[in-house]
This record gives sequence, C-alpha cells and structure tokens, in this order.
Amino acid sequence: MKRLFDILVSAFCLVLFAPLILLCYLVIKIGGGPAIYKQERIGLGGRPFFIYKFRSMKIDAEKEGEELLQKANDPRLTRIGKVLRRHHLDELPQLWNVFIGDMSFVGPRPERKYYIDKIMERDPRYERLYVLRPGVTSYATLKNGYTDTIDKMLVRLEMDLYYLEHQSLYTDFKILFLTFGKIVSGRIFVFISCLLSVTAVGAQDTLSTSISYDLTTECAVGTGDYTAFQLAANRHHVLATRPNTAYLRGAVGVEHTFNKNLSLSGKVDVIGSLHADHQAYLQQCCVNLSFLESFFLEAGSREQQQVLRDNQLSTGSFVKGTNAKPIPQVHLGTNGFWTVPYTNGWLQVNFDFGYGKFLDSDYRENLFNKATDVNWFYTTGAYYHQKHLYLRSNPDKRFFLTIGIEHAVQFGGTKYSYENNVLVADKKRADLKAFWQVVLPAGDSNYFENDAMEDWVYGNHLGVMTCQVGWNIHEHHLLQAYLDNPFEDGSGLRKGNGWDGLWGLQYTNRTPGRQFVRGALLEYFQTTNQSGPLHWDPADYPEPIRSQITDFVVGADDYYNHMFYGGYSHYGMTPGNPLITSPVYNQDGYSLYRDNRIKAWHLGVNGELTDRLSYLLKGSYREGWGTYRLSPLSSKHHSFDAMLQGCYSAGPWQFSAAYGLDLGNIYGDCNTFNFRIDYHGKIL
Amino acid sequence: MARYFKFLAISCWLLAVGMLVSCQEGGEAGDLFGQWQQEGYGTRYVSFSGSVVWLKSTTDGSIFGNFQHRGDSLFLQFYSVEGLPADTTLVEDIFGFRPLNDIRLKIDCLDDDMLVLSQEGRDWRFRKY
Repeated sequence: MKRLFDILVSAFCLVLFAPLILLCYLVIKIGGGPAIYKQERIGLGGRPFFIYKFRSMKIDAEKEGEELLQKANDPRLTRIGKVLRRHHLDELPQLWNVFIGDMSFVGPRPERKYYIDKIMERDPRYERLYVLRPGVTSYATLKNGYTDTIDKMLVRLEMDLYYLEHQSLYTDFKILFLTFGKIVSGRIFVFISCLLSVTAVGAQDTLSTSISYDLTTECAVGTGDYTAFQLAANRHHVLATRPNTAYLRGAVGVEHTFNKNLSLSGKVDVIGSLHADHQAYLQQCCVNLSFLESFFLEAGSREQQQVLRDNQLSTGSFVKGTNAKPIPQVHLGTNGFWTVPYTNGWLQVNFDFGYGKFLDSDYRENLFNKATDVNWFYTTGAYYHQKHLYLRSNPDKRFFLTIGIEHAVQFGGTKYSYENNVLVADKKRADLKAFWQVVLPAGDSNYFENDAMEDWVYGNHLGVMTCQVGWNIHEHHLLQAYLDNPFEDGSGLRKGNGWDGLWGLQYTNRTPGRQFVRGALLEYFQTTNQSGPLHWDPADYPEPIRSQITDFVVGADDYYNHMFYGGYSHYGMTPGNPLITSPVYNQDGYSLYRDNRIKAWHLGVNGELTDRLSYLLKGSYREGWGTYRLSPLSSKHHSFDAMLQGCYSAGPWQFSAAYGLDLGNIYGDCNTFNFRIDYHGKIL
Repeated sequence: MARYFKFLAISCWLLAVGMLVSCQEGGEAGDLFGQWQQEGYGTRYVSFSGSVVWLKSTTDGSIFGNFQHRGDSLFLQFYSVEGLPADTTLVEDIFGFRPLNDIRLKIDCLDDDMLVLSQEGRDWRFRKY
C-alpha cells in the first residue's frame, strides 16, 4: 500500500513539477558545471543506490577541506545553491528515486556508508533501519533538523528507531503533512543526512538510468507577412508563422530501464519565443512506460512522429500529422510495428488508442472576441480521442502491403454564441458514455427533435484510410506507393469522395554511408470532391419540404470544419495536412478553415553531400477553391512554396541554415532565411 | 498459418485495387454533378448531387430543390423551407430562373469545365468550380 502510494504520488509530482525541474536544471547549467549531483547511499536491505539532487555546491567543493558535513550556511554553496537549499528545491530529483523504488516519501534519510560505519561503532542498532526503505522526509528530520555531528546522528537514530516501531500510514501522512507545513512556513528544513554526503564520488554511468538534454535556438528573418510556409509547417508549431521570429528551447529527457521488458521515461520541453504565436510554451511534458519491448502507456504531451508518412519529406497525414502543437493525452500503443505471434512474421501491427484534451480554449475565446464580426461562435474545453490501426505484411519480402485507418474526434466541450446579444453556452456531455460513444461514430437518433443537428453524429469525427504497397527493389532500395483516403462521414469511408486523398510515390535509399539521394517523394493531394457539393437529409427539415425533397444526398463533408467545434485545429494550426491552410493564417481572425478544397502537388528530396553535411529540398504547388458549405472563394487561390536546407553535424552540435519562399495569393510573397543551432547533451 | 496470411495479404491487395478503381465521381447525370460558378459572378453557384440541386449566393442566401436531367433539358423545382419571399427573389430575380418550382432549361453545353443553360433567349454560363 505504501509503495503504491509512493509510485502514484511521485509520478504525479514529477509531471506537476516538471517545469520547475527543468527551470532549476537550466539555471544551474547556465551557471556552469553539471546540474545533477548523484551520490551513493545505503538503502533498503543495506544495498547501495544513487541518490539524485540538484548540485548546490561549487564543483569539487569537497576537495577544499576535510569537512564533509553540510551546514546551513556552508561557504561551499553556490549563490544558486543557497536559493535552492532555502526552498528545498535541490531535493526535487529525489522524486525519481521514490518513483523507481530506491526511496520512499517517508523513512529514515539514506546515509553514506562512511557515516553509517561511524554510527555503528557507537550504536550498532542502526542496522535495524535496513528493513525500511529510506525516505525523503522522516520523523527525525522534522524534529532534529540538520545533523552536522555524529552526536546528532545518534539522536536521529533514536527517532528513526521510534518510527520503525510505530510506523503506519497514519504516521506517514502526519509526517508528510508536517513536512509540507514546514516548507510552506518558510522555516529551514534541510535533510541533514543528504547534506552530510558531500564526499567526492566520481560520476559513474549506470546501465539503468540515462538523462539527456537538448538545447536549441532558431531564428527566421525575411520579407512578407509570414515565415515561409515550408519552414514552419510540419514542425509541431515550434517556429512561429509570423515573420522575423526566434526562440530558445530546452528539453530534458530521463529514461530508466528496469529490465529488458520494462522501462520508464519522461520528458520536459519548454520553448520561449520572440515575436511568435506563443511567447512561452510547455511543448512537451510526458511520462512513458514501455513494456514487453513493443508496447507503451503514456501520459502527457509529446511530439509524436508519423507511423507511415515520412516526417521530413511528406506533406503529412490527413489526421495525425506533425503540424500542430501536441495535444496532451493518455494513450496506449505499440512502439513501431509489432509482429503478431504465430504468423511466421507475415503480419505486423501498429496501433495507438488514447483520450486527451485540447488546450487552446483561451486561444479560441480570444480569437472570437477579437473578431466577432466574422466569427459567430467558439468552443472551449473540447476533449480529444484518437486511434490508429495499421496492418503490414512482412516488409522484408520483395513486395509488402500496409493497410490501416486513423481516426480522431473532438467531443465534449462548451459552445458559446450570441443570441439576442446574450452569450449563450451550449455544453456537450463528456461522461463515460460519451468517451465510449466516440470510439465508433454514433449519434442521437432524435437530434432533430432535440434541436441539435450536430448530434446526428456525436463529436467531430475525421479519419483516413490508408493503403500502401512497398517494393524492395534491392536490399537497400525501397519504392512505396500509397493512398491516404480521407473521410468525415460514411461517404468517405466507402470512397464516395472521388479522387480525394493523398497519393504518393516514395523512394528510400537505405544504403549505409553518404548518399546523395537518401529519399525522394512525389505526392498529389486533393480534397475538392468531399463526397459532393451538397448535403441533404430530409430528416434535417420540417414538413412540407421534408416530403418534397425526399432524396438523401451526402456530401459537403467540409473537411476539418464543424458546426459545433469550429475547426479541427490546435492553437489555430491543423493537426493534419498543412496544405489545407490553417486558421492561424486568416488575417481577419476567422477561426474556421476558409479553404479546404484544394489540389496540390508536392516534391521532396533529401540526402548527404558529405559525412557531416546533409540537405533537404522540398516544394509544393497548390490551388484552392474555398469551401462548399460556408463560402467558395470568388476566384481560385494558388501558392508555390519551397525550401532548401543545409544541415551540418559535429558531434553533439548541429547547425542548419535554410531559405524558404512563398509565391502566390495564399500567403503572399514571402522570403525567409532560417538559422538553427542544436546541442544534445548527456547528463547521465 | 503463413499461407493463410499470404492469402490475407493478396485479398487486401485486391481490396485496395478495387477501392482505387471505385474513384468515380459521376452517375447518370454525368458531368453535371458538382459545383458550378456563374461566369462573371464570383458569388453565385449552383450545385448538383443525387437528385438534389442547391442554388447559392454567398451574399443573398441559398435554396434547395429537385432536378431532372433528360437529354438536353434540365428541370428544376425549388422549395422554400419557410416560404420566405427572399427565396423566390433569389431564384427568380437574382438568378433569373422562372418560375420557382417549375423551371425548364435547355442545356446548350455540358462538359468537364463548362455548363451553358438557356431559356427563352437568355443564357447562363457556368464553370466547374
């Protein structure tokens, strides 16, 4: 029970304090030297383990003297370290120790063997504490404060032994409550046993835990109303669509491998931008449990890569692309393709299934209030459901086939619109039944009587069916042809939408070493048909017209738009294919998709010029006719968008420079020069 | 078991080919299906799908009706949902098709890109949009 409590609460706290952890990490790192301090302590059963803390002392502080016990005003503390200590922030990494089972929230503070030996010389009863998992806080810590002498340690031992004999969940909660009270009240509360452990311990990599970080800075400058489309698209909305923008980005990733079948990882990723759509944003924050090598359970937001489409070259999936900021969710799926047992390698599966929530409620409300002349409603608090299932035959054979389906839904939420100058809220249920109902499109059979046309099918559903054929021309050369067929209702599911879809031909060169052409791709993307130009269901209308126009005609699917949820977008960007211009580009503040009937041709090529220098070249030409339902464009729009990028890699450093341009009347004429520097570091 | 999955893979392949072949957009009304924009008017559209016609002006509203396409003749019957005069105005005055629920038009030209309709010496030119 206690262990379960520790796991749940520490996992929660890790997510909750992730931004604070990242901030502390970056602040220490900027000051120079390692940010994480780890030290060997003695834990449950007398077994050693590594305790993690933020470094609060000068580097090699212990070399300056014999003193190994820490004091409240230790001169070896750095300026940042003093602040961290005062607020106990240096202890935050111990949440990880608790989560992986090295420690508990409540228990005797873990000690180094050196001091345990000293204590044992005077009181051998210390050995009895080995039956307890060491703790972040304890009864002794509360009562005894700093233990900077062996005598105080012996007093603390008495208290720990008292705790050993009287431990209970009630006692633990009481200690936690009192500890929290001390921290909040601002009184000095330092875990003496941790502060005692400043003996130099050389950093030793463990096989089980790794911590890495990524630092990125990027700027885009040029002419025109926007950053060139190709430079900003399909990048999880990291680079702003506005022109002349820049950002700093820091990410920390932690992974702990329990055994070959179980690993736990987490990531925190923060972006601070200038002249951007969002000045500060927690881009990624997630905890991921991978099990049985092939499956995962994840909570949080993460920049997910596409399963089938090439993340660098392709225009992207219609449903789950890489264009918008990640939507936080809890989901379960496979890590890559999983070979189904007993099929002799002939069948592989890739799936993902999850529920999440859109975070852009404030964005939608602000957009509505800024442009009430063109927007007549907005919706907040929408939930998100996504899933995909792909089946693939053996990809090592000469020919192989992949088929599958992706499906995403917006549901729940509250729609606000003005009726007689009064803002009226219309809330959709988001109970357990709703969560189940969105798995397969289903609706309210009495929608018309209930005056809720949008409930003909509950939620805003959209999806894509994929068929992909692969041909291994040679051991290292692969050619694939594919069709991603979009659907918003049944007509798309039965391919009643003509030639709508993403039609692609992709060449992949898997030859080791430098290759001038690593991959090449040609795509045609059409969304003009939408199952026909109109939708007529007699049941939507009263008599007498219901009996005068009796035919049932489906169509005007209005890809990405919905009469209750507005657009399928996150912070104004489509999570799907960016060739359908996202609402963030509507200069008048219109919140829906204005041009979802397009035809586009796209070409992408990448490769390596030298062992360190790679390139990426891609371009699209598109024409747009507007929408069927709301408003066709009075004249056809068009745009040519291209980019060329060079990327130089040198160890942990990566430098890239790019040029992008837009020509036409969708984004106007834009020229953008883009520079980026990445650094990937390893802490453990 | 492996043979079974080979069979499954081949079936899926045939299914996929069938799906691609089914990418037709027409029916008995052929090229008429789809949305047409009136030449010279960026705001006026007429759409055909199934047996339903949708006449739309982005500035003056829209109205649904039935249509029949027989030889070179096109018959239209529009119905006002709430009997609003604006619906009649849209059909008879703005577009000029008369009368509202019994319109007979001659199709002078119909191909992938152009639709030309005429009635009593007046013609309407549309382009596929």
